[in-house]
Amino acid sequence: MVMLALATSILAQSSQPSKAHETLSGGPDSDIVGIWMPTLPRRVGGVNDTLLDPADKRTPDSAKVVPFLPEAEARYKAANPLDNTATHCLPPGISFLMLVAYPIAILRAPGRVVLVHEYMNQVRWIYTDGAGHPKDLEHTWLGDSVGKWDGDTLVVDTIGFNDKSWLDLHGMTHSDELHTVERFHRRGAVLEYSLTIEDPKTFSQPWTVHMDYEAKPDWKIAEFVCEENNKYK
Amino acid sequence: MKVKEIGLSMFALVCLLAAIPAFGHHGSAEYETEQVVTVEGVVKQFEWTNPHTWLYVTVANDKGEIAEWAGEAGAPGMLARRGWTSHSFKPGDKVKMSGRPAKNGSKQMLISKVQTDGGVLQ
Repeated sequence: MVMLALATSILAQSSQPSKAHETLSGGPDSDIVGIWMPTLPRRVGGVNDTLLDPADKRTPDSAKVVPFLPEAEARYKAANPLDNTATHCLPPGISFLMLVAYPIAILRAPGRVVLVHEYMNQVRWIYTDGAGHPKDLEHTWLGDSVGKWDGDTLVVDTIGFNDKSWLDLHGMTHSDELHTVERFHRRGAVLEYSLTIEDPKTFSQPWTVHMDYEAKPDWKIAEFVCEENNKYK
Repeated sequence: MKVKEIGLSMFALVCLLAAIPAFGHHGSAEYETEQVVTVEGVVKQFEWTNPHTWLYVTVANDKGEIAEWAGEAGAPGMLARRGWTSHSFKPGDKVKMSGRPAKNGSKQMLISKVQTDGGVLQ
């Protein structure tokens, strides 16, 4: 039944509104359900993405922007980019997963929002039933996510991460005290997204990145079986 | 606690997104960013696979020496949205393959475009 509800809700982006829309003050146009693609001007394999993907990660200004603690910054500078978990087909960090240039399908069902990522076939379950985080969390790759609605904005609080993934591809490690808060708000064909990252063992203060996604109602989520032909194991 | 806000500025891209490339699986750290290399040859093999697609091209120089170049491209799902298919190349096709060369000097590139008799894929 849940899967049927999810399958129904994904249709909402381009067709009639689902029942879930009735709770949104902004109506169907404010529903975050749909397929979304980061809007950054990147091209796979193209030269235009060099600003976003410098071959040399030691961008001097990075440390001025990201409030690393000294030890975390040292780890970052010493890391080998090919040691990131994604290289080995293990899950990426939550920030990498949310911001990488692959589409995300957002589905709604009673008591939950589900994010289906094309990248790595990852799935995030965000529970909106009000139960909150479990008291005894087992730490996992993508943590435990609970959501609540602030008007038409979905606010997602996530804790319970393990300390294995990287927040980027180049060595931004984190501890199991990582805590993130995300905000999803639709404005027409744009999904406004922010991600606040807090980790007292890695950063001196919380910091936030903002990013937009573009609606792609005609797209389908493709299969991504990372282990199929990974030459960078 | 005060939250450090980072908007959609260049630095926002630098700090976190600098590391979040379009070439998502492992980034492109092993490739040169400022150089483009182009080779012409004949397709030996085309791997339409995740996490990345690979095109192997046999290249002959003026002296008749043969070399094999490996071109790495994106995931099939993303490439398909730009017109690539599993049948885009077959062994024996003549192609001109361009991309960023590997830093280690091997005959490998991160594909930016491939020109065939039927057009250009990028």
